[in-house]
Amino acid sequence: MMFKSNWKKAAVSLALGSAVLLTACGNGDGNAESQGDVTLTYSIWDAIQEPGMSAIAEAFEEQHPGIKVNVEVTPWDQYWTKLESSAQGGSMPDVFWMHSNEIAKYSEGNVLMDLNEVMENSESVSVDQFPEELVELYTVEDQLLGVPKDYDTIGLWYNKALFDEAGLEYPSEDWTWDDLLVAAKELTDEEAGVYGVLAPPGRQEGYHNFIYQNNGYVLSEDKTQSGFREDETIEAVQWYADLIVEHGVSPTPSQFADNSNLTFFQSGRGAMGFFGSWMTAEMANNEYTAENADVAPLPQGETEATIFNGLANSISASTEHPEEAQLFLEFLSSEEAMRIQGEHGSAIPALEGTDVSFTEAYPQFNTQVFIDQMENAVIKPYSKFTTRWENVEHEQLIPVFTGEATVEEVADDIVVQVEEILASE
Amino acid sequence: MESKTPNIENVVTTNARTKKTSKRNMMFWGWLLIAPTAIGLLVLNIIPVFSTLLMSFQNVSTLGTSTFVGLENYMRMFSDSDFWKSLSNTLIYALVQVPVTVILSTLAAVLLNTKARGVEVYRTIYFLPMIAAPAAVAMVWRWLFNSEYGLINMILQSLGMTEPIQWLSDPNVVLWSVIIVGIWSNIGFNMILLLAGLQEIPKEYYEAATVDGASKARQFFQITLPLLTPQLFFVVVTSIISALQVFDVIFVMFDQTNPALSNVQSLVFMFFHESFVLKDKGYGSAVVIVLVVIIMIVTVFQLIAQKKWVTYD
Repeated sequence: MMFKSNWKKAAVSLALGSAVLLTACGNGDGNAESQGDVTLTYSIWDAIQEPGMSAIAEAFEEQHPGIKVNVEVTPWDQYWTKLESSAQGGSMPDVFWMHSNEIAKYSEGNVLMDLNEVMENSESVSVDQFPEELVELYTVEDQLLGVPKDYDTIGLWYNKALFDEAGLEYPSEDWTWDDLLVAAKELTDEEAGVYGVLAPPGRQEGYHNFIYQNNGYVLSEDKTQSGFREDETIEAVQWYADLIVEHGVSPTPSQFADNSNLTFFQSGRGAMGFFGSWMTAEMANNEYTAENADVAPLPQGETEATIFNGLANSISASTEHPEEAQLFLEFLSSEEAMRIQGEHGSAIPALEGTDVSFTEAYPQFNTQVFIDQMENAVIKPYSKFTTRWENVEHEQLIPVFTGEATVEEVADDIVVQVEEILASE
Repeated sequence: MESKTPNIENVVTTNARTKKTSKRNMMFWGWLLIAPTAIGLLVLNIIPVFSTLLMSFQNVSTLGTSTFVGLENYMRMFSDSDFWKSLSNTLIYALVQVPVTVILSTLAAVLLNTKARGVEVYRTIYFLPMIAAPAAVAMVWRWLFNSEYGLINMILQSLGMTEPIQWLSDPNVVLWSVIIVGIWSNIGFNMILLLAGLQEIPKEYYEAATVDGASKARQFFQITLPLLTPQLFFVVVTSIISALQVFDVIFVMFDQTNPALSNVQSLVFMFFHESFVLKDKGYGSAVVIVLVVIIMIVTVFQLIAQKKWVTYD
């Protein structure tokens, strides 16, 4: 057949061509520039918070005719890849959210504008009206690279219906680890597939809280050592893992692979769960939890503690509209915008005195606990390569959560690998 | 297109200079028309390959400056158990998925190579998986595989299975889940290609064989298969190349927190994890360059072996 050499050529070129085809496509959005008006892009990652952010944008546009603000939502998984590419390509959004995991990286290469002057010159808001640790978090080498937008803490959410059925009292402020365990045992009904507590292998909402409640730590102050050197840390993580492994009051990681802890909680199959304040909107929107759930402070171990974190708003150093972007940022940080944020229940606004608007948005839940816990809150552990050492912790602890190893056995490996990463920063 | 005997004589009556101009004209138009694709290929595929190769020798800092580290990434890779596990997962996946897919596609093609009424419907049905986006396919399969609420376990339980299979969290089963989805999604495409090849086989051969008393099975092995080898070769080569790059299915069906992830992680998945989650692009690039080398070696071997088993008449 005459096709023989064509087939050959086609096969070879297609084979080599396919071997070369390894990249995934990323889509870039074109920005529409309106004539005369200045258009700013405000990039965020949480679709649940979008209504609040759009409301703020609208309020700003009313006060500043001639400036338009486009709120763009990119889901968390793609947000950072997109931001990074845009930073390299010089086409970053004008104003955007920044996170503690990433601030160290974005402090390099002069991609973020120094906001110290903006805050100093502002008449409506000043830097001391925000939680100190958050300001510190986003200050690198004396440059303020992000103005805090909100803060979040972790709460013990519980299912009132299940507690009522078992005749137990709801979790209170005085609850200790033991109280939690006792209640969880009572509430676990294996036959019905109901678990007393949902303890997935997670850090910010999970065992990091317990570490600090036991007077342990995750990273040393100078960020050179791993807290897994300390017995207190090891004890705490083991206690958390034992909820699954020894007491059987929580689903196993395999079960969580099929259904998330949120799914368990919202289907009435988990009596208690640890969820951050950012999940409040989700709990309110879900029919079942809107009726049956409420939140209490985390139980205390040796001491009370919760992990807190906060997002910030940053401006691109290469924005084409620096003055307008600064005006918008100032507005975002002002009392008015912070109140709008709280009212929409988007997140707990970071500006002093405005957090009460968040509690008012959710009268059905005892959200005051999120604010009260700020008294003994510990900033979410971070460093330059946060995701890398978090990954180490996660991988090394997998056998612990499946019951194949103890925390003590893997602690040394964690210490070695985490400190290696910290040393490379 | 070549043709054995020219139907029309191309009579060139003009002199040599016009011949050259017309040839240059053709060249110009040729290049112009393939320019969009060629430029796209160059910018989006060829240049990134070289930049990835370069990054694999660097400690990449995307917003700062990258430092050249030579073979460090590769040395680290060879002592990384994650890499070897990913390699073995990828190879096992390819070794199982490709033969099963090709065999099933061949069977489907043979069965659908009829002029019976309604055969078009079946051909469409078999081809449909190719049209659906891989991520969408994986999401649906993820729910099918759910050990408590998924359809698959529900059906198996009604057939008498006692212990529900943990498709997405049992370390021994997870790779099979991915293989199953891979087979399902690729049968259609290969079947269409093989069908085209089948339809080129002259009917006379079959008629002659039937006259000589050969059974259907014998006809399949002695006539169909040998004459199908060119298409089979193409299908096998492209299937292996794409199987070694499996990623989307794994990414959608398994979360970061899944304890069985290490049993199903492929090389491309590891590349993604290292480059975009752990932000170590230099290391990720090294992993993917090794994958490219593996694919090239496998393909070269196949091209050499082509002479042995593929019959072009």
